[in-house]
Amino acid sequence: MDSNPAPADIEFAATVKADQLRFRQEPTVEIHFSGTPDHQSASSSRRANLPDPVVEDVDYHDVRIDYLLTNRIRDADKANQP
Amino acid sequence: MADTSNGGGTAERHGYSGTHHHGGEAEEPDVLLDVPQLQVEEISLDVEELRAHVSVEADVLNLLNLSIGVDAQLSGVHLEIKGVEAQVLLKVRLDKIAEIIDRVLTTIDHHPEIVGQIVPPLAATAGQPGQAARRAGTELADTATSAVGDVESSSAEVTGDTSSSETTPGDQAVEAPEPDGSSAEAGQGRSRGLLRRRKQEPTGDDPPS
Repeated sequence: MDSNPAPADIEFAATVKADQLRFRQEPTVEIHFSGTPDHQSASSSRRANLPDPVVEDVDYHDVRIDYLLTNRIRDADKANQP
Repeated sequence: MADTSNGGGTAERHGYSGTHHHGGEAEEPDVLLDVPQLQVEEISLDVEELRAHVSVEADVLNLLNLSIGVDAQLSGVHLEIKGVEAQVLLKVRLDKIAEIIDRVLTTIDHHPEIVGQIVPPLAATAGQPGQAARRAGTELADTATSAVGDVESSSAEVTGDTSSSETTPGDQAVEAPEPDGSSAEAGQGRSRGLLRRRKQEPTGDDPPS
């Protein structure tokens, strides 16, 4: 259950489907969240027919990746309220 | 289907459509990037480094500093992909930031003495441009004095008036205007001198120096 019903201040969602996918090199992915005075971030992904990590030079078929990230400012004043 | 998430157990599930159904127009995003459907037959991608940064920042004097951001970095992406379908959705909402700023301004409205806490920094900041202006004014005066001297010398050369050569540029800069309007005449003289010189230059009659 979503403990924070307010929508995120930043929200990114992407879905990629492919008939065939091949990595010639395993990529590096870094995601950094920031927020002042504080933030509450989340990211999630779902993969179909694609392992984690991927293997180089292997053909993957009927691939689907769903990715979602959110980041919201934590309102310290409201958080301290009962 | 494999499923991964992080964020301290706050990972959200919205079907990854990026669409929230909290209702109300107030929750519509202020910034929206929507790629509802992208189809590509084949992509061969080679990216050594790709960085995407989205952030929002808001400051109210030195009372409030808000920021929220996401920084994504991909490196060593070398892939081939066929039969691609993609959807991308980016939303940025400013409602909460606006609400916080509004609360700060309301607090200042109810307790204006708070502003007193930021007066010293403001005064210090205001002093800097003043000093800078004074410095700039002094430098400008020096430059103007020098320029006047140059023009005066040129005028003297063109008009053949040797009396000006006896006066240093610095003296002219501090010289008080004469009651009979000699300063105005000097100005006119400078203009005439420059005008004459401009007229003389195109003729090419002057002997080479």
